[in-house]
Amino acid sequence: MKFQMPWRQHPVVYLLFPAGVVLLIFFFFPIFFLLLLSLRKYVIGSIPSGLTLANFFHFFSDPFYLDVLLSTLKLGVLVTCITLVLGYPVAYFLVRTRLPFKNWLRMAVISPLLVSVVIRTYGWLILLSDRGLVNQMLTGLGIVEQPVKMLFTYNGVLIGLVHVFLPLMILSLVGVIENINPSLEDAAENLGANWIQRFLWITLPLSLPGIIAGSLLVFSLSIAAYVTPQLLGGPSLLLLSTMVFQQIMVVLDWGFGAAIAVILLVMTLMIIFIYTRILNLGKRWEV
Amino acid sequence: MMWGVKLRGLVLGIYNILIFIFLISPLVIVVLVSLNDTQYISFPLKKLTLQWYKTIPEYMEFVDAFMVSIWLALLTAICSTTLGTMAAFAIVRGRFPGRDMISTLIMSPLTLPGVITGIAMLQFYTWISIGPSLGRLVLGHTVITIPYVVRSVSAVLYGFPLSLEEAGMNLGANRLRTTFLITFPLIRSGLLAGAIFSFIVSFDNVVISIFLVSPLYNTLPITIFNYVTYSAEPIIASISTLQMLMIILLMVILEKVMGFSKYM
Repeated sequence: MKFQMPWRQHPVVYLLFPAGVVLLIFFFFPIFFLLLLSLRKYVIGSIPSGLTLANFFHFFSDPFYLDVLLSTLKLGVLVTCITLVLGYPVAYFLVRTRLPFKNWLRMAVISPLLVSVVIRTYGWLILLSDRGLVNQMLTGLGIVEQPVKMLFTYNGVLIGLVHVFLPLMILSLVGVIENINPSLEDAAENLGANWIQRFLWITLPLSLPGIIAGSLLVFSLSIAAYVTPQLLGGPSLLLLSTMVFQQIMVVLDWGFGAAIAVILLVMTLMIIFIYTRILNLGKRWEV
Repeated sequence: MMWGVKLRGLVLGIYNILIFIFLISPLVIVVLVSLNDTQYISFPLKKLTLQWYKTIPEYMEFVDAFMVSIWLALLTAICSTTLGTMAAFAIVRGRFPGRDMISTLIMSPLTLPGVITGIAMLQFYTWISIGPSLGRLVLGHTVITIPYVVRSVSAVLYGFPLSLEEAGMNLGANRLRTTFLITFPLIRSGLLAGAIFSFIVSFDNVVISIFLVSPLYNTLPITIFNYVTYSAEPIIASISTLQMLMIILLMVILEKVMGFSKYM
């Protein structure tokens, strides 16, 4: 126990209040209000009193909405798997490389995170259009004869989202790979393991906490991404997030919009719960 | 054996270069389009021009939106740095029950998807009749940027030697004087990092803003978003390039102040 001077003990706690009050009123209460609203049937002009699960029944009984839910989840799984497979070698390289300017390399990989998603997506709009650079290259190299339609398709959204979340995945992986002691890999090599065995038996299992944490993070963010699906998917491609926006801002069915948002929220909270459990497990292993 | 290792290194190197190209290509293409003289881009570039940049002042909605975004980001940075720094002091220095839980709650705006936070705020503001205004945008952005400040300020506070403050107090300074003359200068880097981060996050934000803006208070990213939905004029590319330059400038400052990768 460290001796603490009494003046340092008490008053400092009160400094929590301003931020606490602002968050309580303008963040936690709105979320609670959203829950409340999702339990009410909305009729234009007034919100009838009384709680009901009608909005949720409406969602889960209509194959159309279930389809949207399913394609959102599928997109999340695809984005997660692709960013994981693409990102792992990059993260490994960033940690183990002996090149100079290591920090600058890292910054270069992370820097797209700081550019507004609108601008990054706008870049993809230019690249993926029928006369865009990607199609020019594909036709120029003779890989395809006709330009491939990528804009306003599911695959276009997939490419955009992989681009948005790849730096995030790399960042989570770098965190764990950094903590793997290189001498463990050397030991495996000295004992005659080839690089595939070394990877499968040493590096991969040791980076598992980061793989799981990064995957959950990317999954929960990608099922709720709004800007990229809206711009690259166009008006006809519906996902949960774009449907929330449509219901609230266009259809003006606030109750139903709130219900879809709550479904997204519940999925996110479940993932966060698993995420923290796994992080805690990781901590226990370290001891 | 040696050949295998070298080959593997080479393959890994080439692979990383390809991924890097993938990561920066949408950003590079925006810059190229902004310098190109025709709307559609084909390689090699025929003629470079700054004409799109010269016409920016004619697009009043972008100029107005830029001003709104600057004010919004500045006010957000001031509010969240003030509130976040106070909270960070309480969390790092205070000893009270439920401290871990409270710090998790304070960080939670970071983990919830923006769409949910945005619509929750819109419905709440409508309910308590706070109409479209700069104020409700500032509030919305402050809430989501407080966690960044708490994180960067507590990072420096954890390593802060309390003996320096005790020395100040022993020499007769009161607590306020000690805080302003000793503590703040010493944790300056964390404060500045938090403030710049809040500024960038607020300036870039789309998904919260889109629910809270109004024609009178449109932010720059929202204006770009609306434009991109309907047209592909190169003017958007030049404005986006300027925005990227500004963010890069802030990033360089942040890196100079202290390695920013710590806070990502």
